[in-house]
Amino acid sequence: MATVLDSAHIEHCRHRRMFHWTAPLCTINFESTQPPELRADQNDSLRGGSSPRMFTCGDAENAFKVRLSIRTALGDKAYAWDTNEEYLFKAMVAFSMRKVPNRETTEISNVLLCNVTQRVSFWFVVTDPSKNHTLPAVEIQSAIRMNRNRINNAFFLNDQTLEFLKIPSTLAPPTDPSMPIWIIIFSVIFCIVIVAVMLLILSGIRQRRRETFRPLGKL
Amino acid sequence: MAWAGGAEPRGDGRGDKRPAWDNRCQYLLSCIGFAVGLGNIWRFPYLCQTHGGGAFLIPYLIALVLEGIPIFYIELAIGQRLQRGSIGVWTAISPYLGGVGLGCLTVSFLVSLYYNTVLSWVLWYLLNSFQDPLPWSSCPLDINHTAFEAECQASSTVSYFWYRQTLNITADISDNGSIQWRLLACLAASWAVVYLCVIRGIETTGKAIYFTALFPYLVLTIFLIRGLTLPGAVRGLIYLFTPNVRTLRNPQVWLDAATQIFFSLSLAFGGHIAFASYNPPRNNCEKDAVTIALVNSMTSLYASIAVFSVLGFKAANDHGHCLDRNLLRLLNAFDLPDQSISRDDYAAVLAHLNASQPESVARLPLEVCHLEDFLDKSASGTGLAFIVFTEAVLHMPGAPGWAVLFFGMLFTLGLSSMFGNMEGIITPLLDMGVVRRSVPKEVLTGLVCLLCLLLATGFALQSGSYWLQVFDNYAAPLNLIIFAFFEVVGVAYVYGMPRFSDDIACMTGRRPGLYWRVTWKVISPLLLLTIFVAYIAVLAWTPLSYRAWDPRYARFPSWQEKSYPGWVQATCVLLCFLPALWVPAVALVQQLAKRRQKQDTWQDGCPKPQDGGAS
Repeated sequence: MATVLDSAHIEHCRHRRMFHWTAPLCTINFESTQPPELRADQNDSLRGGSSPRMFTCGDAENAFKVRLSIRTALGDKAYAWDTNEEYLFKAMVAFSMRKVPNRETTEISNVLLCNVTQRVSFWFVVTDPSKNHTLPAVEIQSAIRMNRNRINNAFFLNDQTLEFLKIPSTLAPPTDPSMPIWIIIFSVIFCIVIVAVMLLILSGIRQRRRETFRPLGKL
Repeated sequence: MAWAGGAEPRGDGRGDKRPAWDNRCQYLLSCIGFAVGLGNIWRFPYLCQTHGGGAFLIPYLIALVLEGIPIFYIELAIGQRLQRGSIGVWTAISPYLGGVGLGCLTVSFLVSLYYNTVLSWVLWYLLNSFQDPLPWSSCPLDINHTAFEAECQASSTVSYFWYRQTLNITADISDNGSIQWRLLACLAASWAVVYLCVIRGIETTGKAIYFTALFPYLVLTIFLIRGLTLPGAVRGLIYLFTPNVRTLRNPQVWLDAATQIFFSLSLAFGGHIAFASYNPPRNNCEKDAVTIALVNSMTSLYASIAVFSVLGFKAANDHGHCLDRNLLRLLNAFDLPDQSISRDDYAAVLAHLNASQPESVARLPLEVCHLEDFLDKSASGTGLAFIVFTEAVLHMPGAPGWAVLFFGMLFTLGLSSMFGNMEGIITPLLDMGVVRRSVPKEVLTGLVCLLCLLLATGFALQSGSYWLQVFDNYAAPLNLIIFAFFEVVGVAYVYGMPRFSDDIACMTGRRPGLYWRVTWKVISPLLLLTIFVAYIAVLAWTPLSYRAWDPRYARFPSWQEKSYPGWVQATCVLLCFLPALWVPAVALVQQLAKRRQKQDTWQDGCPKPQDGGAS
């Protein structure tokens, strides 16, 4: 089910942000059977309820911030970021996690998003099936890195326009041709020059030989 | 109007007919090609930019009229009149002045060494331009393939390609490093091309010059049209050409203008004398001199328009990227929607945010983006061609094509100048009869090219670029000024103005006017003396230092100012004065030896060219 996001809460959350990569002050309130809710809180300590467990969505070690630049990538063909796109995002993250051994049972509901801004940026965590704790960042990092291409393609973006902060992208290997192009062109030019020099020298020798047989009588 | 038709390709120092140009066009193009060189592209625009834009044209034109054209006319006139290369000409005028010819030959030789090395660098870039994407567009990965090379990250992709992948430069001039075989191969190729073109003297250069002298103009026109249509170009042009007359109060500007016109016309190399010596005696060399000098200056101006439009485009591009980076920082920090602020709104939005949340804005690492700062970044020489221009080309659509055109133009420009340099070496040697008659001319030119190639391999070392700067700064300038001074004084006073006026009357049909006589006798020698003294003063006051590229330097990528070690300083001083020592040495030798009459018997009118006597 889609997360319930209240724009007023977003506004409220945003103004409480600090401008660095630590956790925001917004928290998520959820329990195992109910869809998660966003709830603004004054302090960022966990607050236990009767049954629902509170997790700070921006739990610093295991949460990741994602930033999309859709309009930069697609220009006029940019789509709007709505809850359906978020669902797709959660599906892609869950798909990536399912490829990790021991995590094949990750569901879409285990992926939690929060603090979606107009930028478009948000935080996400992945919880384990029991929803007691969040999965370690290292696992999520490696899972995302391995499926980065699929995730990018699902949104028509690339590594620069769909940024996972704190997850470095693998750089493309250098495409070295087997023979550097400059050597080919150099050999061609050098051969032409040598041949031309030989021709000129030979024609000069031939001309001189002709003159020794036929001395110049024109002077 | 060739006086000797269908020339046999033999030098006349061995008694054969002297070669001649096929037509007047070849001669003019050769002189223009020799005068128009790399300096027109990468020295003149830089001087314009740093010395008040359009205002620099005032000292430049004054120097052209008072110094450039008169000395140029003298060179063409005596070469054409005496039908000899530089050594023969000066020996004929006076045996005590023979050292001037030898000195010119030495300077031509030294300049050929490093000039062709620059051409080999241009050739390397030309060969690397035939690929998409261009190799200087991205950084290579480091050994672990996890990030880009540190040196490339710290400086820039174009700087890395130039300093590391091309030169593989060391951090100090005394650290020689190893020979770069890629540069050595390009050096061999450039000398092979030069040999191919000068193998039979003007018979072969005359054919090659049609392409090498005209192709740069074609490319400059293409670049001009393309440059003017690029965004930001016109604004850059206006800014860079706007005259700032206050700069004219600085004497350095006048000194730079005088030296620029001097080196731009390639005076005192002996090349123009050599070219003119293959002319028929009755040829209007006055018209030639004025035409060629004006074409050279017009080319400088034309080239600077093309260069400034590309630089303006580059500055606008960099300024736009600077704004974009700042915009991105604002968008990310304040979570504003993507692309919601345009470049034009940046200032207003920043002011609004600064008013509402100043602490947050203050924490952001915002850069200062002024278009004028980017436009004021100037570069000359190899910095302009291999760093600034290569980066500008990256942003133009169809980048490899533009790179090929640009480096092809530079190569042909330098090649046509090399023809003049080589003729300045080979013609005097042939006239002196250094090799026997049975040895063909091809062998002499081959030996000269081979010797130059072997000596120039030193520039293919890792520290070669530092050595090239030493040669460029100290080998030529002072010596050329000395030789030009002796040229003017030698012709105006030793040869005698009346006799010279008679010769000119015969060649051109009328005696030289007041302007010529005044500049030859008074103004040009005084100007040259002033420039000489000013040059010595500047040299004595500035410490001999160079800028090194050291990745381990604390403030990398800034250059590190280092002073030359003692032995290098000694080399600089030697280079400055050694060629000029030929003049007193030869005069002394003549004084000590038995004095022989070397005067040719001149008749009235235009006599046939005679042997200049024993040299």
